[in-house]
Amino acid sequence: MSGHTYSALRHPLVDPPRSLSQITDEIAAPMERAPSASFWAALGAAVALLALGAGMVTYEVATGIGTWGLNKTVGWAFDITNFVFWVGIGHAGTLISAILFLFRQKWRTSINRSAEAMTLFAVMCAALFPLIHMGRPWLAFWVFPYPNSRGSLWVNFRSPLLWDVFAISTYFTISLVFWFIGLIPDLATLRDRAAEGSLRRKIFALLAMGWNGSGRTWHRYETVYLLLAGLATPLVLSVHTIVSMDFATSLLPGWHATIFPPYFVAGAVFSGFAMVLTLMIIARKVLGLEHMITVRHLENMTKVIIVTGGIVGLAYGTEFFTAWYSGNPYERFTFINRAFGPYAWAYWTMISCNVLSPQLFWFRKIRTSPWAIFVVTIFINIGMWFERFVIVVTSLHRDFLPSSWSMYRPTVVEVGTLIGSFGLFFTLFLLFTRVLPMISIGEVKSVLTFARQPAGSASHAVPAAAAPVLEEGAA
Amino acid sequence: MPHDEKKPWQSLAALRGDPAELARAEREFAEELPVGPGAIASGHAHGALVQLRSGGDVSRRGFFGLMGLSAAAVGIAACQRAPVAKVVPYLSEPDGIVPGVSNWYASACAGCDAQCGVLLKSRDGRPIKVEGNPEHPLSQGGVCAVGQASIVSLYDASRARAPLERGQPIGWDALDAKVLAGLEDARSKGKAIRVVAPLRTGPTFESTLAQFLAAWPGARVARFEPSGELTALADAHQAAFGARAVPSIHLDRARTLASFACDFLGSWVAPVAFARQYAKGRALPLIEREGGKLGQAEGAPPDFARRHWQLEPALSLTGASADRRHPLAPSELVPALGGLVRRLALRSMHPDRAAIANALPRASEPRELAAPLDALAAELSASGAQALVLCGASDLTAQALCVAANQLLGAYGTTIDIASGASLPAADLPLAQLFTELEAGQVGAVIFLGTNPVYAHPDGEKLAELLARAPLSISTADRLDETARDVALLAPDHAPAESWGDSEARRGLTTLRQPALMPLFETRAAVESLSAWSAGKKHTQHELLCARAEAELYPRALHKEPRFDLFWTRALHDGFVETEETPLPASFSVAQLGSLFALPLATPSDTELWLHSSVALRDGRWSNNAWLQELPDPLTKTVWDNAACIAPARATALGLDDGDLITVTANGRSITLPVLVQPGTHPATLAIAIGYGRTAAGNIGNGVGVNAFPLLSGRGPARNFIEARLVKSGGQKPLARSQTQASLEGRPHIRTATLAAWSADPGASNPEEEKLDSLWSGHEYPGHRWGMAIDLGSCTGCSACVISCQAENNIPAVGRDEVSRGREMHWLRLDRYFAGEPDSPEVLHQPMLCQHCTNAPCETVCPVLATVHSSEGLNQQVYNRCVGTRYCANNCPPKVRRFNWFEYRHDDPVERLALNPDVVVRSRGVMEKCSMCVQRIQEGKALARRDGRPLADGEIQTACQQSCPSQAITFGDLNDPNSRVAKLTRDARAYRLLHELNIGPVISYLTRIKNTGA
Amino acid sequence: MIKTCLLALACASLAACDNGFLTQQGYEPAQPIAFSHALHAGEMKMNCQYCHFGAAQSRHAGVPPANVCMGCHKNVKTGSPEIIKLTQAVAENRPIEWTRVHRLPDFVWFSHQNHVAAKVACQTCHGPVETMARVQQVNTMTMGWCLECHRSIAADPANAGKLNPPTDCSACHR
Repeated sequence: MSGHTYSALRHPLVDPPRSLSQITDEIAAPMERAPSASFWAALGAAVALLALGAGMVTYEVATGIGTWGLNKTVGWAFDITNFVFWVGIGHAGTLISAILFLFRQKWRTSINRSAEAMTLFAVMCAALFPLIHMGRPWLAFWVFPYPNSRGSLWVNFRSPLLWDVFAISTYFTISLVFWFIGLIPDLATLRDRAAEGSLRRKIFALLAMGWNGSGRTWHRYETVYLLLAGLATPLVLSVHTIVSMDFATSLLPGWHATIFPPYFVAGAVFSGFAMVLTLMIIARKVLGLEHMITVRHLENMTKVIIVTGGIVGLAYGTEFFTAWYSGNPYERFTFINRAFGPYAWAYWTMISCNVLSPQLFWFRKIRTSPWAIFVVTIFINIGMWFERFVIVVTSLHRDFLPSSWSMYRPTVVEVGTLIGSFGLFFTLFLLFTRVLPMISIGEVKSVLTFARQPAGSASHAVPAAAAPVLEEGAA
Repeated sequence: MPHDEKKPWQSLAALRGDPAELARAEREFAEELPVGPGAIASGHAHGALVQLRSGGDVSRRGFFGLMGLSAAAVGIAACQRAPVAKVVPYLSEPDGIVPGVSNWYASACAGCDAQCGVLLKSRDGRPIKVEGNPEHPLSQGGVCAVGQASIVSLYDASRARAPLERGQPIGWDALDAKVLAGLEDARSKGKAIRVVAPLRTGPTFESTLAQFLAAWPGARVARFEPSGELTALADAHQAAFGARAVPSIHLDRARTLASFACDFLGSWVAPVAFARQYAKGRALPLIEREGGKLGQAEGAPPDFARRHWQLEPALSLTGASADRRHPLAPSELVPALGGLVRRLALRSMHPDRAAIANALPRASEPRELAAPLDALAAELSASGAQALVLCGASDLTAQALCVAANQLLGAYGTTIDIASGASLPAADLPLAQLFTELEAGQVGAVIFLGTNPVYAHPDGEKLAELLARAPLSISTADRLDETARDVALLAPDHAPAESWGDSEARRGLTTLRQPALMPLFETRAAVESLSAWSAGKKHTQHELLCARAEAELYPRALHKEPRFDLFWTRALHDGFVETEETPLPASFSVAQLGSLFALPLATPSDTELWLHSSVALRDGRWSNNAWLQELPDPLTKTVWDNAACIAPARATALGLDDGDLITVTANGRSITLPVLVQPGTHPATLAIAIGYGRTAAGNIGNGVGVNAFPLLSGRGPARNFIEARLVKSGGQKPLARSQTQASLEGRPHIRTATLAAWSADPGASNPEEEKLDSLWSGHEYPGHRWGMAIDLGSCTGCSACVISCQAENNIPAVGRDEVSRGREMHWLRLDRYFAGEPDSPEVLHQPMLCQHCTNAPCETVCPVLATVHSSEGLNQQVYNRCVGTRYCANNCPPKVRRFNWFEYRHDDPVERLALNPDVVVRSRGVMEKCSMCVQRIQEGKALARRDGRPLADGEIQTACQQSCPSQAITFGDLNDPNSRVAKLTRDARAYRLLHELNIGPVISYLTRIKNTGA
Repeated sequence: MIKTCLLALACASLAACDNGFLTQQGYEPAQPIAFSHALHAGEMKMNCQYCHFGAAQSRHAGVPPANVCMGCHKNVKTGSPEIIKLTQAVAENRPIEWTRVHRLPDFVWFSHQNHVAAKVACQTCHGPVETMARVQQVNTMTMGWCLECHRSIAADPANAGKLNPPTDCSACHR
């Protein structure tokens, strides 16, 4: 019943082909060999940045928001910019793992694990900012509705900030569960590979939750996974929709716009994929996984970027159109001020990074050259950060009453905090590459091209997902 | 829980109406509730009466007040596991003091020489607020920013706390001994005894001074007035009328008002009184508008001939309100006045017209002024006696020409009056002579009575050196100021709120000053010092004042009383006494006046210095006052600095921009300060505010700005027509400004119309709001609904409201750096915009505060419900619930919310005495904003409820409203259709800020009407 | 599952923190002079406001000045050791430092005057003081506790038009 035959029309997703055990070995290798010097160097750098950020945040919380460059007119700047930026990054994970899974996009298999991890870390970074941007963060728990002795005094369910609280925490929870469920079979594999009685084995045994690889277990597992994918899918849309409402439901010209939800979601996917690519291109090189994260994977993702980048570009245009068409003098002024005011440099950085640079992906040559892709994605990351900066700051600094117009300049503390958030992100990601399989062993095996398997193992050709278990479970 | 058993018991009783139960409840609270004098005081607080107090026990009251402070300011630290707190009651309660109840004392403001009548709100023995005394004939309830801020100066930590000798503490007795010995020594050695006194001090002070002079024969007094304004004014009138006095002025009677560089709304003579008269004269009738239909006009129709002309070198607060404004160079002031007088002489029927015309200086006025002067002369002589010409220059020629002009118009007796003027002491010894005497070593003793010439005199540095040559030198300053630093002995004076005194604002009107607290430090009133240093018995300031009152005031008082003590009690209650006086002998003589015309004229130059008093700091007396330093200048919007204002055209020509440093040289002295490009400045003018650059004001005022006085070196205080040199000295000093954008960008936030257009259509340039649909059912306001109306026609931008608000609501001053970061904390700010031509712009002022929107954008976005709508239409900010997301501020269209970026400390034991115990001090990380003085609203309601009467319209006044000199702000209940505020809100001139956003502000602005038309 | 449990736990603990076992309820400090309300207000049926006269005119009910006590104790029970403490304090002109029992955080603006004017019994908030030898805080004095009373009185039709205790934030927070 070797139903799987290789079609010449299909490019293999793992190329050159590997045997099942090779796959396991290769993916498990980074966790089993001692970390290289380069890894320590990278980790050291990341932790240094993290320490810087931690220092800055401590100083800010201890001294006051005054340590930032904000003023009576510009009440948000780096803080919320970073928040939206990181939430955006966090989008690719769920999109890849949930939506592409539902669409049966098999090429996702070798990237979804790390994409999901990235999502979790990004959301952690994002969640940091709403907390520290508060004047009195030690009272942050007041944003949760809980019975209290104030008669009872509840939270304001009309406030988009409150919606954020729920949206982000839900998103984080589901992503975490989804990610963990996906990990279980691999955790079992690692458990079985670890030496009898070793601590490593104990830990993985605990995490694997008694996975036994039986057909029934696999069946239940896949059902759950499918259900969770279904659950996670709407979140991809909901989270950034709600984040966008922080702005859309206000009445500030430049914020008060109905197109924000789709615009923000597209932007999020756009930036998310850019970040995934950035990381993948490094990881596949450093960890030698080029054959599993193939150029084809990269190319597919660049295509997604072209589409979402197009949507974002369209949104920029639409904003200007609505501003002009509305006839609202405040709206009009805000957008003219955006493009030609004191923050024009930020605006044009955004345009060139987000609208122009992705156009390079129309050329196959660039789509298929990892380093070209890498450079472009870096630009996109920068551009998407500036998009949020432009939306937040240029709308605020010149609003209705000219008397209160002002300028915003970031302080060292703010820049340090931004850098620190990257430190946190990379620290977590680097640790992840060492302690967990950054590619889903089980799923990758399901997309192997059996026709090209070495003779003898054909008899083992069984429903793909089960295969690894037969092998390693016996080992 | 016990209250659970009690609650039903209570309401059930009421429900059943069970007489026994009710009786029980009654007995619980004796009907004979002790309604003590304290209650009376606070009861009258809103009728703005004050408690009857005889002066004798003030010190005791103050003492007990301070002692009872801990009892009143209970529960300072707030955390749930409270540390053990103490309650320290009085041993024996002074009558009239109830912890937590305010007493009000009528007194006199000492902010400037105008001496407005004020009420000091005293809580537990410490004054916490200055309010205008509505019954005072001149100030009529207004107080300026300076007066409001005097509370800070009272609790100024930099005040001297004991008598000092060369900076070392010395007892009063020792000091007096030294002084008397020194004086005796001087007399025996035949050396001169000299006193340097302020120009205006007050009758009691003068009589005490006279006693001193009598005690020390040969002693003479030099008068020192830093600005030199009154001196020039009085000298001109002495020449013309033989009476050295400040004339009393009635702007409300002036139909045509020509002001030559006279900032009578900002800093000249008595700004508050003038602002009140000015507003009264230009008040417009109230015309309601409903659905396009206009109602009956309420109030007198406007006077179309009434117009205010302002000719000035640099934009002043007064110029900002003028109907017609023409810039002119300082050197053109005299020629222009001369030209005007010449024109008036031609049209006048005055017997002396020829004599005056002949005496005129030969200077011909600049060509570009000819046309306006023709028009002005025509209007003036058309108004005749109802015209008025004023001049703010401290220059004798200019003032003399001014007198001539008014004389030709016959204005004396109607709009301006010398007979009822406030007479000034005769000029005894010119200050210049003191210098020479000191130089010659002829001076044995010199006493500075609250004057600070080392700072404020152009040759102060020289004086500082010379002082060493006087064997005995004394200052009665309240601190170790520039002069006090260089004298041997400091005999620190009380703060005004600690002292007794009187002053003569105009002939027959004596304003009384009574203390509102026990002296904080070991200080002594200057009059007491004087009397101690005179031969004979020492007198307390209270004795001195009472003695004078009994001898001078009591017999001639308009309001007779059978006994002096009754009279005195009443006088202190009112805060002033009106007496019938014979008019000042004043007969006009051309000869004397004409001789002044002949004074040498200035030669025009391309850079002419114009030194003026700023609205906040005046002559620098209160430079150590953080509130005043941080009060944005109404015209430049700069804080904590003075800059050289130059015309935009000149700036571009010289390649200068805001903040560029320049070096100004005049009379051989140079100062370096930043440039500020200010529309409305004459191209040749370099305008610099005096009162800055103190070196010994105190920890706050030292080194703020640059001292411009030295530029007058060798010229005495006459401040005008100084040829100067301007050099770009390179470098930058960015100015801290609360507002950087000067243009309205064509937005309709401030609406203006000409008087002509208004009379054609009262709704001119103010289309009626269209009704906006809403998905909301809207709020319900069962009881009151508070609202406010602000008349932009009356508002002069004087910023008194800003400081009043700051004082009432414990708003911190945050300092220069924070303001330059755009973080000033004022709940109420004044927006200033320029329109029209940059060389002679139209200036628009708009008080901006929380609009208490009906659909407030801030309310929907707060995640923790820290800002919510009240049942009376107020937008409430709950500080202790706020977590500080700043989302509300972002979503606030007028950007009136203020965030506590840091912990702004109020922990100086002395300075914190100024805090208002009815308003919470906000902590770091919390949003704050205008509450419409909700504490006053609650107090007013509580009092009405206690007295079982309905709340009267106008009974509750917000802090900004109370102190507004021009009564531009009206607060009240919009649910009462007949309330003043409700009517104003329906006025055809009324509009609401950004109503198109459907935020529904409860504050209405009234279109600004100016009589600019031909 | 685990997560929800944790969340619930967190909420519970937060709620607990806020739910007043951190209040001063039951606080009963010793006083410099062992003054007994049970004796004065209880047995002798003295009117509360005879001593706490501030309550009718001010936000602060106030602790009576020593001279109020001396009004009687000049000749009543002058021998008792506690009264001697009092007379000494007066003699030495030394204010008596009582220990505060009832105390609201200073971001709360409470007015005795308003409540007296509304004829609220002192006991409603302070408990049966007339039975206390040493005064104790009987109620939690939390915001919820205040509002409970304000709301129920406002809801009571019998009070319509007569009493309407405010529930606006700015009634107590300004």
